[in-house]
Amino acid sequence: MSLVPQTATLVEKRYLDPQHSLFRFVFDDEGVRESFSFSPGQFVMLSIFGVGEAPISITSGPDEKGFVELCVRQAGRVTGALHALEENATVGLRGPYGNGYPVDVMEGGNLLIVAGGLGIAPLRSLIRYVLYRRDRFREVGIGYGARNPESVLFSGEMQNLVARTDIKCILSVDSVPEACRWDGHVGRVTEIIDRINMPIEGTSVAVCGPPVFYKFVLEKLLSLGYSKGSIYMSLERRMECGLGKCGHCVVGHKYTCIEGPIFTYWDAINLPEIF
Amino acid sequence: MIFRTLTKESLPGFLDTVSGSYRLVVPEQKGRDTYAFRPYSGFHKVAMGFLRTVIPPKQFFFPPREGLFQFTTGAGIETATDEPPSSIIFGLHPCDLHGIDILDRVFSYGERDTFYWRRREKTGFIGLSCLPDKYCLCKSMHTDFIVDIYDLFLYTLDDVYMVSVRTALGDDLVRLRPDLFREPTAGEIAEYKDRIEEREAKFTRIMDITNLADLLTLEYKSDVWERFSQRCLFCGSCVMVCPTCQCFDVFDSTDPLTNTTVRWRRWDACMRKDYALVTGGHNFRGARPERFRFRYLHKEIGFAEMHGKPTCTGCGRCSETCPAGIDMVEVVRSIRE
Repeated sequence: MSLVPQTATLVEKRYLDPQHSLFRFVFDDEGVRESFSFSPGQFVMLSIFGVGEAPISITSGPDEKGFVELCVRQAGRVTGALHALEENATVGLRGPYGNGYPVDVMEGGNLLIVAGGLGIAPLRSLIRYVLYRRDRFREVGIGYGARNPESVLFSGEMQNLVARTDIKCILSVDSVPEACRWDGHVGRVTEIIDRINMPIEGTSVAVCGPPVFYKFVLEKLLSLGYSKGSIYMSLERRMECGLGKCGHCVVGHKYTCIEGPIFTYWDAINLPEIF
Repeated sequence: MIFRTLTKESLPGFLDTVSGSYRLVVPEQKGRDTYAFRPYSGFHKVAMGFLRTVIPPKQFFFPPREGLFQFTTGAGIETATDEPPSSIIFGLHPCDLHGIDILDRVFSYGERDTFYWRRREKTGFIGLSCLPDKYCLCKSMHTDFIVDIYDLFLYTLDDVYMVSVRTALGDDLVRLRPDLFREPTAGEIAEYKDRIEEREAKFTRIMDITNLADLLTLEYKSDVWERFSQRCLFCGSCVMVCPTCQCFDVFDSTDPLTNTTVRWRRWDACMRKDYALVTGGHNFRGARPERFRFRYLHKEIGFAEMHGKPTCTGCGRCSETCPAGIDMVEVVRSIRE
């Protein structure tokens, strides 16, 4: 039934930093557990019973079966209650919703992924998708910017990507506190786009981060000559249903929950009320 | 589709019979000039001359507040298992039938809304012709007549109703009392035609919607929005009474004694201040003119792009209900000027 979630159990809660944790859920129903599949960039509606429901991007990769992982910042009512849960707690999940990244369009070409802060949450799913089928992409570049070394989410995984030779991954932080070790770039995330130095032709760019990050990254990408149609953004909106009915996520004339949350920059700037 | 006639004296007997087999809902007078759809309790209560109810018929498929499921630790998620009764709504004017057509499109777009359809599928409609008052804009919105959605439609003539029998359910209803229905005479057909012309002449107010979607787009930054939003109280009355507004909010409540959580949905209004507010404090549509403008843009452009037609049915409820006296005709005229 629409709007009715499936129950799921929180099997693992991985602390990432004081604000963020990675939550791994397993659907209680075996049939749902087996059949649940999604595309990178899609989201689920997470229920904490008695508190409410919130849309959260899926952070695990679509090839990892049997569980769903959500990387969540402790920010509001539902996410606050989620962070307070202990392992083995019951939550509700429904979905997946949204369009996801157009991986069929991206495959066969180059892929540049640019994440800022928690923007890594949906992009980690896309990165995992790529790692499972690296041969289907030509050049792959990943740029990830965070405030400081402590706030780099999934730092172990990200360091592994930096070490790979078939992916050009550069991490960047705004500043490095004293007594903190940091091998990556220090400065603006736009600078690592230059350093990754991907071809312009035949490259899809997936971008996700906070509003100010979008502003600078989009400017940079356009100045380099990327087409607005090849830049994919993930939009955040208030959502109550995920099914194109409750009305809350309408941006301009489109429902973010079904026609998004992934929009090309071209589609996005043609929507009024985009930012 | 076939046509039959039903004499006016026969209508009470017909509705009595229908109410024996279905849950029958009819328009009743509530206050001095207000009407509501209510369960049938005898023909003497039916307000045959009513023009519009305060709350539109959407309430029967999409209640103002409804429980979706309950959750209890141990028992898990439980949904309602009761079967909604087979129902007939009597007295729907063309605008309200168009409103139901629009909600049908919304609630079947993408994943079907099971809560809407479980009731909607079990409901039939008996339409009733009407004569416009000063708020009616159906003529302008091209919703002044309807060729689908209804099961029976009664056109009021002098002594009889000309009855359009459109569906098998409509035929089932007629067959409950076949003795009351007969073939229309040539004279009745002529009278039916005259009535169409008479009704046409009674529309005194026209809202010009020619190229309206374009004009709204071109006037996106117009000061008209600022001007009207100064007057608007943002109370949401226009949304509650709108036959096609379907925004909703989802929330939980927990019984402290049983620890049972109920997940609810209730009607919501896009002009509410925190409608587009997200966690972290960013409001994508916080300013008053933006919130006022959005409803018009969604009705005329957004919905049309998605579902194929604008969502205003011209029923006149918003203009009649607005405590600030904001009239859609005036808003549209200001945009055109």
